[in-house]
Amino acid sequence: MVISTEQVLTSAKFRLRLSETTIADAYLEKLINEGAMHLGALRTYSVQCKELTIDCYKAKLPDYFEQFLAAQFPSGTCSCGCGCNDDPDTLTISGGCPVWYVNRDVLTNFNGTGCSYYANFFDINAGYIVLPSTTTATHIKVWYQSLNVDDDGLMIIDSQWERGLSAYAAFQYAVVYQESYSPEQRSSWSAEWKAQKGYNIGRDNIKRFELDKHAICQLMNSILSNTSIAGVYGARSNY
Amino acid sequence: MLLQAIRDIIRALPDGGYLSPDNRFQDEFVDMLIHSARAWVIRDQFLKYKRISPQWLQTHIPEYDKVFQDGSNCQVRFVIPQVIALDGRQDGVSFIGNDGKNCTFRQVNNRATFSAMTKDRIMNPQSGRKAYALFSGNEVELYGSVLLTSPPRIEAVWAIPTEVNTYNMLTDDYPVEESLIREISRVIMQQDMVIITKSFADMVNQGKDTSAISKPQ
Repeated sequence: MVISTEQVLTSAKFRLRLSETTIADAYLEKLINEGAMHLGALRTYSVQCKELTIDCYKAKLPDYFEQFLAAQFPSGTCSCGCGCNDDPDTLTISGGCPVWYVNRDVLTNFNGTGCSYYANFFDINAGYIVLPSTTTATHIKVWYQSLNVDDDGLMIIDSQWERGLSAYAAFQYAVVYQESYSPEQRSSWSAEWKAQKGYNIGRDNIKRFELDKHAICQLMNSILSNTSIAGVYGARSNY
Repeated sequence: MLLQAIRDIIRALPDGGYLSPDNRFQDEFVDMLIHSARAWVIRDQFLKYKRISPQWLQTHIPEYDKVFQDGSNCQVRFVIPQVIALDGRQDGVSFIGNDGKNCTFRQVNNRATFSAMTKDRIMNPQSGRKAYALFSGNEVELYGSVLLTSPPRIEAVWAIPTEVNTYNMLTDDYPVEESLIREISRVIMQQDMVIITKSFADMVNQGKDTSAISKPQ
């Protein structure tokens, strides 16, 4: 279950005895978001896809973009010529079959649907994906690792993190306004945050392993039955 | 509280003899002493217990007036009575939001802080994600898309309760608990009124202070 930042904010306000005012809301929300961004938890990043507009051979990457995974020219606007090599200068973008353009650094064993795929044939620079000058497409659909945020740009938070993040926000706030909170309160919130973080990271690792078990199972099956294992890695990369 | 009123209090306390018995204890003067003593006692209570008693709160619903607007479409400005300060962080504003809804606006008490917040992706008041209320002296500026749908409602501990537009002096209780009235009267009598009550009254209103003790020759 996921919860909103508002929910964690309310918990933090009651801890700090600030429920009778909204004067600290914005700062506390910032602290909560900051804490959630640096968790390294299972839900910190998510795979998302978006269709971008190409202008002068480049397209602006979405907000909260972290790492490029793959791209495809949507059907109807442009597609590819099958059987090309990875050299962007000789790549012909004119055919009709879907082709994946992948980040080989991340998806080392990616095998997309369609006739073929090309790796690293464009650059990413200053928030833009820069395509070869042979590109005639007007749009490109991009799959990417993104910070897991909602429509307002706030982190999506797992319910299990509510206690830890509210303790983090309370601790940080109490450090700034030391005169209003005792050293015992500050150290108690700090200890709670550390304990909760350790506990939840451990839980996330168990959950991540459970998700991996499916891919491991498929891999073992494919070895035993002597079939191609390429598709297994393709499935694995979706996590 | 107006500067003139504060000046009158300060001028009246040590020189009670210049005033006639009538104007020493006139209603407006004593009211001001009560308001200031109430603010002092409430602040003292808040510092001890860190809570705002519901008895101190009054609701003020400011009226929209075109004269106060600056022509900008991104804010609405209202004139309000003064709010008391409670401690270094918090003042007497408890709730500001839309009337009839429990949707709170985020309070900012300083334009410099407000300006700094606009530089932050999460806190930016102009993102439109949340409504913000910037308090500046006797004005409040509201920012956000929800603020024009209905008049704002402000629940606060006001410095002068009689200036709040929902308060009726004849029918409404004075916004303080019964248990604090004794404390208020103690503050007034032991600090403010002690000089006045020990001063001779100027019984003859002739423009000359006959109560003043003449200097030894």
